[in-house]
Amino acid sequence: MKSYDVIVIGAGHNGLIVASKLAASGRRVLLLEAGETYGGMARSEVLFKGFQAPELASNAIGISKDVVQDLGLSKYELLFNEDGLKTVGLSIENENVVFGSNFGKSIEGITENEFKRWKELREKFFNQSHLFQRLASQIPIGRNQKTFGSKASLFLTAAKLRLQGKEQFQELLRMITMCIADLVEEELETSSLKGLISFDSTLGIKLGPRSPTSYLGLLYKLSQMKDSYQGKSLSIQGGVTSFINALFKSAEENGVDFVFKGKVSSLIITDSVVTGVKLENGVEYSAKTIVSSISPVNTFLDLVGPQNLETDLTRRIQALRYSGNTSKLNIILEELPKLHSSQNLDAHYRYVYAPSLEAVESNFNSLKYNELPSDPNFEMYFSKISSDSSLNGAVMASICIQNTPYSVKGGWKNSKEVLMNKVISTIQKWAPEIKKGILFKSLLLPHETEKKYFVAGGHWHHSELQIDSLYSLRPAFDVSDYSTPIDGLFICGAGTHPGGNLFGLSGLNAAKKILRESIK
Amino acid sequence: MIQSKEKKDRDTTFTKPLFRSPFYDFFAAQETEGQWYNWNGYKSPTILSDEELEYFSIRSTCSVFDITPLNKYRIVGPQAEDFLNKLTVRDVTKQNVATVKYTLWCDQEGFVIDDGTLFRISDNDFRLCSQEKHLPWLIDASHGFDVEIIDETKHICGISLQGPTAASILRLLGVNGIDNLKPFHLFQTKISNAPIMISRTGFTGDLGYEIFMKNNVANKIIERVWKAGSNHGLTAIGYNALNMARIEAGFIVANIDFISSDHAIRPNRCRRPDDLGLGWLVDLNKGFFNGKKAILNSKLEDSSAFKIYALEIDGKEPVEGSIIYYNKKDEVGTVTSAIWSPMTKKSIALAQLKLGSSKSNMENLWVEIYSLKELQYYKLMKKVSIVKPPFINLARRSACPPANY
Repeated sequence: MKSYDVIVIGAGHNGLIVASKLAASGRRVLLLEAGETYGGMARSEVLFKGFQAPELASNAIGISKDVVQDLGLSKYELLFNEDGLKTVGLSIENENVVFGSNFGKSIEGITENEFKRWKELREKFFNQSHLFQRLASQIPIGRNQKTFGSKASLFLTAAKLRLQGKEQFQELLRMITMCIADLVEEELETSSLKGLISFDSTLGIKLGPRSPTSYLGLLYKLSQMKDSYQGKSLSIQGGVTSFINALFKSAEENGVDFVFKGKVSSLIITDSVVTGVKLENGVEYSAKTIVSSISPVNTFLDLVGPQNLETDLTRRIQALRYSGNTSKLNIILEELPKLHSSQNLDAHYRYVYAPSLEAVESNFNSLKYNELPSDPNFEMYFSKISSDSSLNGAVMASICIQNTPYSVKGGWKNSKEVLMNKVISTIQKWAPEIKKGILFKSLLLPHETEKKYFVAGGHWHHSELQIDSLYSLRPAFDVSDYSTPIDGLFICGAGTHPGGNLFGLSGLNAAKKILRESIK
Repeated sequence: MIQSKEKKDRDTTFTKPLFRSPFYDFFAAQETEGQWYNWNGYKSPTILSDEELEYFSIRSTCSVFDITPLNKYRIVGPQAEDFLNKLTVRDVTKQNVATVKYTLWCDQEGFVIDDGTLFRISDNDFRLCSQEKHLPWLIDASHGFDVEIIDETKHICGISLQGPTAASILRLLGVNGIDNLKPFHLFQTKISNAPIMISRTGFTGDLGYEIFMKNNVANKIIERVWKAGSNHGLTAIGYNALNMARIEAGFIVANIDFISSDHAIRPNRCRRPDDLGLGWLVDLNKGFFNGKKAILNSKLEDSSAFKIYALEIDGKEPVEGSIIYYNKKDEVGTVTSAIWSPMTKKSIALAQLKLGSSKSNMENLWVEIYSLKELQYYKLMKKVSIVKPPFINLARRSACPPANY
């Protein structure tokens, strides 16, 4: 049996970060990945005629500056949207709203008066996102994490918020559990702008704009935006792949060993102490420290197994809400689609179809009852396929469809095509000739993501990012500090604090915790 | 016709929403000066005729008590043993088929959720009986194990025959195998062709048997038993008589002598097996089970928790609910169960006391009694001494074969 200091399970971005950071400290690290290559849900897949691109995570708000600095990623080629990313709020009948970069620093298509009110609201949003920003890099106070330092930093976070002034603090307390619908309806009137903000607050989480606490979804995104490296989002054109490649190179240079197609079937545990892993092909590896970057549901229920876990914890893990609610449609087009005469398509823009707040809410209603939305909302990016491939001049449209149920009434067999056609016909209203240019299309539903990427429920964030599953409660109070009741086993996936998107702080925090604990 | 059947099983009116056990009619017929209470949703007798006479039937003849309201869970499947080994603190692999074990189960803090008896009917077939309801906990704990958990409380009924003549009554009923049945063993047999399961168990510290059967044979069995017991002093009893016997036997009851950890609201009310004097049940050498880590860790700390003690008290005043003092001034705990014991001729009690580990604290204990005598309270301070339970130890309890009284 081959032996290592550390075994990391799952080569998603968090797994790569942990592996690289721990290897940099001189530990011998093995990274086990079930798939054929690294990158997890952000990995590149051959989609069509040898053309490779991330099938799922084709864009990211940003990556944590701490991750970039800590691992020295700036020496690799990282691609960002240099001029910021503008969002077009698609409106089929009326003029589109163009939402400027940095979450609407400027907006085209609304009145000056409305923009003035928006500016104040936006400032408030960013101010309040400070709370998450500060908490993101802390190891949450939990069952085993009650040190003076962690309490002090939580206290300082609260104090700092309070020092912004009484009024601001009261405003935070007033707003934090509100729904985004009430907030935007207080100040704004343009329908597609309200739709766009509602969409951004709820994409990827199982809440509608009228659900209490849906504002938190927005705060969370803004805090990542503010705290990301250079304040920029990863480029639509290959940005995600550049980040994943940089992480892989960093891990490789630090001496991490990789095993692909090495799906772990179970952990070797005796008396609540982990000593190694067993792969599905029968190979075993031993290590005193095992770090699992896969979903907490898979980690605890499949790898550790209920026979090694307290019923209290199995209960909490089972109670996580982890069924995915977003699907991904990839379309390869012969060329950039032509639009109605009055509009221009810019491949550098992000397009969001969420015509109104009501539309987003009614989409969510469908999700609640496991039905297909009648008029699905989605976001869409166009990326040009590089000229050296056989698909010269072709374009890939990456489309995230919001509010796709994990299981749909009547089964997915017939509904899959229906959903795909609904989205395409919406695009057709805006780009009439799109159907002619389609070379390839594929829709990945949550349950298909679950199977292909080995993530329970096929949820982007491994479990819902909502008020009851953040900080000390993520994924559950007993295991919120990256350690687990199994000695030697740590978790660091998106299901841990702070989780979410490609930010990478879950992995970095877990690595810091492991380094600190073994010094003791 | 259907209506009348429904009425018999359960009163449908809001004024009497309690279930009635299949033995209800029989016990109601024995009532002269009765009192009834709600036991787990069933209308159950506290007293049927006379509390003391009922108690003495346990100790000198034989008593019959309805145990139908006990929660009964059937645990069946290829991994039933593994599952129960994870759930409970004892090593289930060491429990032979056709035996019964008293056991506990804990939460992740090592706090006791409840105690109960585990019947091993066959290799992969168990019955777990408990005072409190636990179906959600059992189902959640069984995740990942190939077992089926069936709440058979409403489908299986039972009676408990306790007292020196219990074995003789069963012999009269033609039950073969009573002579060889050791305490905490069970077997399946038939009375008048009706299948039953008999175990030599009970809650009295006396010779006694528990008989489980399906609801549809309940009437037939109780008639036969009652007839067979007519010359052996068989008496139908309520809970009060049983309670006296169980205190003498030193048995504790969840939510009377300790608070079940899933009922406790205040954190310091939860108890570990050691605190209940049941640390000997816990098998720390077996593999992982619920609460193991916490129980191990708690052994490292100097425990300052409340523990359950058996007490003897001077005098004969009832001490139930009284406060216990050290050196007549420092409160150290409360009495949870107490009687004047007819067997030992003493005032006895179970109490939860916080004494620490120092031996000297075990002496100089006093109980404060408010004794009501013709509308006037007398405040008494009586000397308390800690004894080792049980308060009584009857040879007939474990004699095998049991004598033919």
